[in-house]
Parts: sequence; C-alpha cells; structure tokens
Amino acid sequence: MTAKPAPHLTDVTGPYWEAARKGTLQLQRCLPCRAIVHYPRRWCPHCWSTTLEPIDASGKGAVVSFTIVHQPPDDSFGHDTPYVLAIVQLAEGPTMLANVTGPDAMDVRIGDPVQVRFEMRRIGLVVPQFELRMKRGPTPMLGKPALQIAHVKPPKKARKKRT
Amino acid sequence: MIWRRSRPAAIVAASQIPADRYPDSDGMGLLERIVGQFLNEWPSVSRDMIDGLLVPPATIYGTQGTNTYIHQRLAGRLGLQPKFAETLNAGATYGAMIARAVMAVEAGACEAVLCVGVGKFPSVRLSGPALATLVGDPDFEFTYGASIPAMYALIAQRFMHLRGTTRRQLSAVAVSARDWSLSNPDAFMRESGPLTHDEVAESRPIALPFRKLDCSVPCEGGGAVLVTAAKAIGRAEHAAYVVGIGEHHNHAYLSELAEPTETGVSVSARRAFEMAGRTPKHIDIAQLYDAFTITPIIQVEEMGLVARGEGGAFFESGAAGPGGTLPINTFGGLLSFGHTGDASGMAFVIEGARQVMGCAGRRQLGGVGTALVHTYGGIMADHATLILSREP
Repeated sequence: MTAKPAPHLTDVTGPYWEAARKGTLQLQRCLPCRAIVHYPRRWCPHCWSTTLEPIDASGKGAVVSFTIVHQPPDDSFGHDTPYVLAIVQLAEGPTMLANVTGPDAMDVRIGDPVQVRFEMRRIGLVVPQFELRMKRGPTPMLGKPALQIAHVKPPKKARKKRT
Repeated sequence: MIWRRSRPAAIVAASQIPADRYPDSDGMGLLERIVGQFLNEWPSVSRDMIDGLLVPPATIYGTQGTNTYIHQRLAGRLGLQPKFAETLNAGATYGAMIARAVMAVEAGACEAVLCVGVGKFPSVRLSGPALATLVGDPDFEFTYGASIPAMYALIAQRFMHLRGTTRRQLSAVAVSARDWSLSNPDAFMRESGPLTHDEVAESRPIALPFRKLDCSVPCEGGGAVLVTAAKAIGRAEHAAYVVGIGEHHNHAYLSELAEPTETGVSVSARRAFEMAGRTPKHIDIAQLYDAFTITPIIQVEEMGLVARGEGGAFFESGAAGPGGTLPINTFGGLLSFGHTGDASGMAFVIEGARQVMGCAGRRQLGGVGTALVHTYGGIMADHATLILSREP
C-alpha cells in the first residue's frame, strides 16, 4: 500500500499546513480589501495586494456538493473506497475541498452543516477534514431535518464583471 | 470581442483517423498517420499553400513525455517553413486552436494554417495521479483523493440538485451518443450496438452519480483541418466559415467556485453569438464536449439552446439524437466515438465543420447551415465556442 499523497509545502502554503498540524483551519484575510481567501495565495485575487494576514476559521461550513468515490485516482485511497468528497463552503465565505468522514458520512446531502476535524495522516502531516454537524434520521431530539437548515449564502462575487 | 472581419476565414478541409488504439504508433508516429490521411483525403492541398502550423504537444501522456517543439518536428518532416507556428495546449485546446488560426489568417499574418490534433490516452490506472494533478490542485484537492470523474461528479451533483436533472436523463445522453456512433465507421464503440438507459444506470459505479457508461471511453486518434481565408483553396464549395468565436478562462481549480455549476460556459457562448450576430435559434446542430454525461446537459442550458432546467428532459425526449430537432454530437461524442486524449476536442471541430461543409458522408444531415462547437478544458475551467456557417 503506497502512502497517500502529501501536499508540497512552500513559503505561501506552509503556514496553512503548520496551522492544521496544531488543530486550526487557517484562512487568509486581505488587509486592504478585507476579502477572505482560500487556498493560500501570494496575491489577493480581488485587489492584488500582497498583504494577506492569517486568520483562524470557525471550522463551520455547509456542503455545496458531494460525490461518493468508488474508483480512486490512486491506489493509496483504495482502502477508503467508497469515500465522500465534498466542496464545503466555510462560514467565512471561501470554499474548499475535503472528505466528509465519520460514521454517518454516507448520508451526506447538499446543504448539510459540517464541522472541521483534523486527520493525522502521518507524523507531521495533519489534513483538515469535515464531519456532519448533526445526525439526520430518526432522532426526534433534533427538531428539524438537516436539509431545512439554511445554506451558507455564497458571498457576493468580489470580482467585478468586465464589460 | 467584436473583430474586424476583413477576410472571413473558413475551414476548407477536415480529416481524421478512427478513434482506436494504436499500440505501434508513438505520439509522433500517430501525428504522421493523421497528416498522411489528411493529405490523401484532400489532394488539392499542396505544400506551397500552407504557411501556418498549429499542433498540440505529441503527446503529453504518450510514450514521449511532454514535448513543446512538435511544430518544429512536424514542419521538418513535411518540408514546411511556416510564417506562423506553435505547439499549443490552452485547455479547450481545439476551439482555441481554431480561434488562433482564424486570428492569424484574418490579421494577414499568414494565408492557410494546418491545425492538427493528436492524442494517446494511457491506462487510466497508471495515469490517474498525473492527470488528476494536471487539472486539479495537487495540494488542496488531490490530497483528498479527487479524481477527474469525482471533480466532474461534484459539478453534476450540484447541477442536478439545482436544476432537477435525473439519473435517467444522464443515461439518455449516453444513449443518444451511442445511437449517433452507430452510423460513424470511425467511432470506437460502433460495434457495441445500442445502449439502454438501464445499462448505463447499472454499470459499475465510478463517482456518484457517474457510472462507467457516464464516462467517455479512453482511446487514441486525432485529425487535421485547414483554416484559410482564400476561398480558392481546395474544394471551395466545401467551406465552413468561422463566424463566431468565444473564449473564456474561468478558474484554476473547481473547489474555488462557490457555485460549481457556473463555470463560464455561458460567457464563452455569449461572446461567440455576439461576434457571429446570431442567437441560439440559428443553431442547426451542436457538437458539445462530453467527457461525462452531465456536461452536454449543462452546455445546452448554459448556452440558451434550451431553457434552464430543461436540458435533461431535452436529451430524454430524443431531441438531440438521430431524427431529433437539435442534433447533438452527431459523430458519437467522446462517450461513444471515444476520448482520444490530447486530440479529443478536434473531433468536435471536425464533425461541426464536415456537417456544415456537406462532407459528413453517411451521417450527413440535411439543412445544416449553422453549427455550434464547444470545447472545454481542465475541470470546465477553459472554454472555447465556435460558430460555423455555410455563409461568411
């Protein structure tokens, strides 16, 4: 069994993975235009400022879309199949890709609220992942089914349409 | 993007080899085979008239690794010394390649550009990580086991959720493509016979909602076209004028998009319609890049060929198939003609051009005045739309 792929750390992305190792999901905030950015970048994609400060995300988000992967792109994921791959919109606005994990992961639906958790992949490498924030199904204590929980609204497009 | 059309350019010759497996040919060998067939099929095209050459790398995942000097090699073998040449891979490569040829010809940089597509598709198992990290983020996507089908599945699931597309409608796209391929002697799947909706929906799961038969068939092949402004060339009565070009490069990585169904198809198509001075109503047939069953549904909706939310029903009704009102992917698409790796998009250009030129052989449709061709690249990141017409 080969090892799962590990991210390649650079001076821009290194702090993100270092924060994950310490149990924090880190985003960037652009100082001049206040846009919140993920994945880590050298330039703010909205105003090209290079002054981006790290901020700690709440770790809360909602599932924008998901798929259940049966045929992995690499043998190293073979043991995990089928697994859930999802686009999560964070409460702060940016979207990111991750796996939804946990015992009820296969029940995931679009719009479900999720919470970050951290998967130790090997010594020195921790990968942010998500789990469903509440269980769906015949648990009357929850009140509402998860699907009725409001989506996190997509942020207004910061990039102006060029005419 | 409204261009000055002092010299309207046209595709005046088009040829391709069957989608197949060519174990005896490396990328360069396949390129020679394609050009050889083109020259046999179009004897009126002479060495003297070609002064432009556009080729893709031959071939990224073939036996030769990446080579960005293929234009030199091919020019050398053909004894060409072009004024304009490039080894090009833009994503949405062939829509973009034709666009660049048209720009060169219309600007007067050269008279006739030979555009060649060639591709080998290695084993998906061996090339999975390389392909997935080419079009996906190696750090923030591939780390999570994001295969190419899985990334498209993320678009599909969201689209189906928002627009109400059903599993059966996805199957209908594969069924329609197979039906068309049965009349194309060059299609890889023609001998497999017609498909049923159930066969698609019950094939091996790849990444929900995709089953094996929702995914295009890896094979090898390619083709060539000649883009020129001089109407005297070749069989001049066979001209497909490039009246509209739209291009749009939307994102680097899919997971950046807060709304993964808005990939920029509509932007590219709108630019092409504006330049052509035409609307979706003018389109007689469309060739829409179909690496997966969801993507033609997305394209017909996003281009305004059908109303939003009606793309799935459009395919399910048979309107896109043989005998339908708006034939789509009349050569079988990547789903049943075959996905020829780095050459894949060329098949759409060639079929669109042949139908407009009246050179589509047994599957020639009547009354094709205007065809739309759309290619995309990456995870629907790059887009190029062409509108081809019998009239300049």
